[in-house]
Amino acid sequence: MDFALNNEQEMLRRSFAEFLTKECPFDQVREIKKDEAGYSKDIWKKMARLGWLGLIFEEQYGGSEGSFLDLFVLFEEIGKVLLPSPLFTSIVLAGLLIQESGTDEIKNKYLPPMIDGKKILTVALLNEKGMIDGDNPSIIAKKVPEGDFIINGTRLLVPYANIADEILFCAKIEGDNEGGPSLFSVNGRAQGLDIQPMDTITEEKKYAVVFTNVSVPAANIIGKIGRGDTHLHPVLQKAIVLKCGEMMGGFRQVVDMTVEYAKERHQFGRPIGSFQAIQHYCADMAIDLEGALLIAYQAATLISDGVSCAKEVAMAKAWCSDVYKKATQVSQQIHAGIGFTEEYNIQLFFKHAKESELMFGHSIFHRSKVANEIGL
Amino acid sequence: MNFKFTESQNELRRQVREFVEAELAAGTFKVVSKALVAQFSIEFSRKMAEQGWIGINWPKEYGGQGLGQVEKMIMLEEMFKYQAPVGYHFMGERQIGPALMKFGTDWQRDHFLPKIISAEKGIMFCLLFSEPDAGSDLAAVSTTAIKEGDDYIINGQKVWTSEGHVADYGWLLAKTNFDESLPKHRTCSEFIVDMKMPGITIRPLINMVGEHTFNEVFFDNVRISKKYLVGQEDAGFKQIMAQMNYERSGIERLLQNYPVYSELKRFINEMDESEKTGEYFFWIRDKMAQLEIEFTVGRLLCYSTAWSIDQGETPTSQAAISKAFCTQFEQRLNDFAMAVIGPNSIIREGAKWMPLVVDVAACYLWGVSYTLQGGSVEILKNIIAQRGLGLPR
Repeated sequence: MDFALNNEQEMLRRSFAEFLTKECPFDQVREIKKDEAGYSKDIWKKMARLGWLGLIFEEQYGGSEGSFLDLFVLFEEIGKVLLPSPLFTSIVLAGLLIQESGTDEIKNKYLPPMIDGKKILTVALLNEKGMIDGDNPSIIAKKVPEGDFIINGTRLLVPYANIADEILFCAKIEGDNEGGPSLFSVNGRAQGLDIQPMDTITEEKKYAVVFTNVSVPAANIIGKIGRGDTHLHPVLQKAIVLKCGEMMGGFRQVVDMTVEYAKERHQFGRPIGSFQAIQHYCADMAIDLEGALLIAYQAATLISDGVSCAKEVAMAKAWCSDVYKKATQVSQQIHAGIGFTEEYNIQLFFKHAKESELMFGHSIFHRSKVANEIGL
Repeated sequence: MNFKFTESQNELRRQVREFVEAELAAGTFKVVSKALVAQFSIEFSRKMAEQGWIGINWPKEYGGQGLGQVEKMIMLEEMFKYQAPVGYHFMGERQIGPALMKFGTDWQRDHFLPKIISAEKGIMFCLLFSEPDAGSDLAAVSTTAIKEGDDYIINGQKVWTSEGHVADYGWLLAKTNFDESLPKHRTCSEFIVDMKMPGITIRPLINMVGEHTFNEVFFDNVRISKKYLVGQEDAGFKQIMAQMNYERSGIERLLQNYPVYSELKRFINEMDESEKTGEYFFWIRDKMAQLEIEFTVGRLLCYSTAWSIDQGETPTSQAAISKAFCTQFEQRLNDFAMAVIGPNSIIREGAKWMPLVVDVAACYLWGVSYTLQGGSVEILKNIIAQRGLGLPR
């Protein structure tokens, strides 16, 4: 057993933290949200130069073949500052789908420019009902005699679809009732793609993507025809754990900011943090954080070691979702009026916790997975 | 970072499990639902001693194996899964031994440590800390130990003394300094007291489960030699606090009702297929999955705290977190188990139709005490807030 990161990982964490706190103060988060593109090209370029976009990719494509745990630590640090960027959707979702399922040709085509930061990819996961329907997608691909596919359907809440060079999605091939869905990639500026911004409660740019007779060449299929769901599943497991990492970063920050505020804010001639009611709120947060870090890191180390861990992943997402959200609720209560204002930063985490809870399955969904895993 | 046990730790776990299962099969003990350390058998402790499992984490110079808190936790986890009767040596091994190693005299070490580690007859300990007016505010003890020549004369009253009626020795906190200008946590000292000394009266306190584990202990001019003073005079409170992490990080806080947990899973699995549909069963699935997650979190908290101790740290806040979380988990477990089982769950042990092998109703009642002993949840939260998070007093 070893519950600490090793020296290299600690150094890595420090370099992530130093860069992100310097480059991405909360004012910058707000600026980025106002920006049309929804991310900072400057920060993105620097992150590419530091090699962070290639952390877990193979060297031959420009990656550094680091461990999954390194990436988990990066997302923890990102969660602390809430940097809005296409990192999650481009590098984790699209990048891993391509690395794990693509042919050499596909990998050569997509991975090096993605790792360089020159191309941004995204994955359109959610259907009109907001569900990940990779097993039975509502997007339909119709094969035409020339061998290409004509795509029709709708995806919602697609991150960074506005700037994405490629959009990945699962579609059901019309007339093929036996095969599963297939994983496609479409040029982000393809004809027939309608990309409309969606106003949501969080800082990340999200879009509705409507496919109307979009033509996609057969060469754009990633992985095996009819196996899109099996390609998607292991990547989603990793994405869930990294989302937990991001949430844990947010959670740590919420605890730090709340404790800091409770020390500074005076009422009745004393810091409110000296009142037992406030202290016990904070202690509850600390208890939940300690447990959440352990259960999230457990899943991350198992994935890092290549061990199958469906139960541990589901437990981590269920628990982290619940306790992070609870902490942001309590934190708002402790911050009181000032926390409810737009200008104060704690509300950013309140929104982040809510969105993160709902993405990739909330706690009820994941507890159902846990129940399956324990034979109920 | 890795969450795996080593080969030798897995081997230890396997050995302990085989041992406990063999003892259970041989009828040495049975799985009952009492407070864990209230179950004791000197014979069972002797057998553990023969295996080298008492003092497994004690240094070799004191007869231990020199292994860590993690190994001790592995061993205890397997013991507690079956509620093995470890109470005879439990307190001596966990609390008294380490305190004597740290603060005791040569005579005290030579006299007590070998007896504790080999589970000799006449070496069972109880703790004489709480008093009617000194509970959470432990430093406010008013039992006095007044020096008279080479002796101390003890007067006063202790309460909530678990196993006081069967213990051979008591580990006593008493006031030794009456200078009112001193803060009260610098006025008490620790002593070892032979429970059969003249002047000691023990009165049973029956708890709401209907069982006798607690006692009131009265001291009326009890004379003990100064060689039973442990550590420095007036430093007793500090010495006790230094030892608290061992108590609070214990996995017994998670596993006092483990048989309820395993039995509940069995009960749900054996429900009729016709019952395993509909919204009621969805509720059961959801709650059971939640408990599975909480159990996992609790276990990780216990092991990570033990690991921190093995790294030479003093994880005061971490240990408090572990205990606060685990004891509340056990209360939720018993509550939920009774809801799933329904009205039959209030049937007590020994009565016909008891639904589980263990007395879940008793566990539910015992649960009241879990969040009180060894630092109430509220005291633990104060520690987490003030020492862990640095909030002002």
